[in-house]
Amino acid sequence: MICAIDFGSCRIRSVFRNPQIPGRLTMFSERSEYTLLTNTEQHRRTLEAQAVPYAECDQALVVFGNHAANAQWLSRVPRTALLTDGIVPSDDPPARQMLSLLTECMLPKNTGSQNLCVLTVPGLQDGSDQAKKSELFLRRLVQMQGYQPVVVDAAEAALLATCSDASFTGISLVMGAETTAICISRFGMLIVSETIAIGGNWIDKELAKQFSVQMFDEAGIAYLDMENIRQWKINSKVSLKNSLGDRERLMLRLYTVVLNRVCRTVTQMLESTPVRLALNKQRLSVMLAGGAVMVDGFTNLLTEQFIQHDIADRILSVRIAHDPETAVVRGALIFGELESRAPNSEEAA
Amino acid sequence: MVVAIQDAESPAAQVAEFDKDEVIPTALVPVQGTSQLEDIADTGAADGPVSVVSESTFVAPIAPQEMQMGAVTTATATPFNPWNLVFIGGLLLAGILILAGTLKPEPDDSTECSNAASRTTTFDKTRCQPTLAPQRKLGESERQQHIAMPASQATETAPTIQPAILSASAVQPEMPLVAGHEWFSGDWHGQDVASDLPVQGKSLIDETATVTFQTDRVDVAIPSSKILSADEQGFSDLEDLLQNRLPIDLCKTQFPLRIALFGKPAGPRRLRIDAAHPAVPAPHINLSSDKRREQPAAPTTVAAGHTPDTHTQTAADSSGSLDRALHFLQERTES
Repeated sequence: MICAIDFGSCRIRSVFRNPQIPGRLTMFSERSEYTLLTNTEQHRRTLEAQAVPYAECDQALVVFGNHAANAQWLSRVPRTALLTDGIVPSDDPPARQMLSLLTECMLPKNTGSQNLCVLTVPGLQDGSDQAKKSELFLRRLVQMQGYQPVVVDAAEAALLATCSDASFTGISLVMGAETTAICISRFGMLIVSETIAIGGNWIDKELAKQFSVQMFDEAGIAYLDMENIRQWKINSKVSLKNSLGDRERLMLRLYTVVLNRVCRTVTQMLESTPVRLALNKQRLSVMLAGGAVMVDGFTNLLTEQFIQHDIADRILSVRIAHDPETAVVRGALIFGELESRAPNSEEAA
Repeated sequence: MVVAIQDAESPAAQVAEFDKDEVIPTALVPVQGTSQLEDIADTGAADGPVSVVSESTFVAPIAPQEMQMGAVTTATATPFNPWNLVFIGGLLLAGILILAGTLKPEPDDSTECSNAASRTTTFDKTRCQPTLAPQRKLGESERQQHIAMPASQATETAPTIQPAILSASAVQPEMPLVAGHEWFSGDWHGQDVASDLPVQGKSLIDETATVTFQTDRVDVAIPSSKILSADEQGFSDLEDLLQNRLPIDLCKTQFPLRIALFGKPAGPRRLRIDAAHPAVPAPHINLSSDKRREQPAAPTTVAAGHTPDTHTQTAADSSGSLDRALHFLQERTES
């Protein structure tokens, strides 16, 4: 059994081939957050009446996964991310246990001899102790389910899923909730990759700060209401092309800041020695994936930034993946299937 | 002389050249003969002496025209040509040398790698199917008992056993190895073999060749066909996955309804924590003493926007030390 799991800061997704019908994929998608509730008899009874799974912790009840949104109305505090800032929290033991439970429920039972699970690790992979601990923790979660874990870069996975028509040559850009991953590859071989610690959550947070979109609990403690901003972006169908209103204009400025940084990184990557040796002056396609790239006008803004950074002549096209949210996990599955074929190919050679 | 070398392949030119010189170019003979011998040796001794005779008549020094024409016309009729004997002797010598070279063990270091490689290959083959190696030398009926053979072995043994299969009875396969619509099917159905055959018997031989080839495949490579089809199926599945053609079933995760977790949850990140102010601090804004005396209540609204977020100051600390300093500076500038 080969499967893939994408530990995202916003959602955790897993995908594998249907054991009965290999021509179909089975996918699980759960929010990587939980809702904190007061541990009272009324809350428990309400959750049980609505058949909402919950967990009992010290002095609190928690509802995690997709059910967290259903139980939000019972709480006056916003939902808590399981992977705060893209890192497995060290000061939140229930969150770590919830991650373990989600992994157990989202991965299929291992069957057969070759049990391979390809996973993506969230956050900044800068070699710090925190990043190493996060990766080790997620690896162990996968190993506990009987799989051999293989870590893949999110941008590389997205490239495998989306750049088949470009011979797997080009620039892959995955803008997630907490980080933006960029990689340049040639014929599927990774040349250089980079991760920037900025993503869609930063934009939402700045919007919430600037416009004081807050919520208060019973004690009067203020929290940023990020969910309000997300709902506004979805319901208002905001566009970066024709920004109307203060919020949209601020959002355009924030996206410009993010893409400016992305383009600076891409420029440095294109000027690096490995890329110059491998690709020379070849024009490259840019494939976009991730939830933050789905806003209208994103490609136009990115193209403008490429022009401003004088690298537009190196770009062949800028495209958004057909499935920007699930491209990473599908690419991870492709990576796993290719890895599983590698020993057979070596034996045949 | 040079022209003779360049046109050595053309009998007519060769004849014309030697007609002019009327001298046998003995210096050319060994070179030319050696190359021919090498060619013959390369092609193998299986060509037989008949081809050697024809080659020798081709390469030998040219006699006068009347003799040469006679030799050409009666090439097969004069077996005791001395040049033929020389070439036959040379060929035999070369063959003996080749045989001696192949039979002799090679202790040379430069060839050790190739030997090791060949030994490794043999070991891999025998490791994959150790009982099959000696059975390759057995007859057809015995070999047919061992159908389970890896694909690599099956493809290797297919050319070597082809003559035996040609003489054996043809067995129709249950299913063709390669479908007609596949891109490489044209190379696999034996059109190349059939194209070399005479035209009048082409249809029959085509059929025979195809049947023979398929028989060969069926006898030896049934497992390989299964492996190939599985690989093709796998590659088509992978292609579907790459092209995002596979439908996705989004399933609902089944969690236990009630579980117990250990520890205290951290909860959401708080935006800010404002300490309670014991008293409203005095305004710390740069105002002139006159204005401050005249409008004591005016700075209150301004001070609301400058409430310190992080520094918790007591009323005594913020009672106007900064204001006094600023006021002192202002008075000094005014004076």
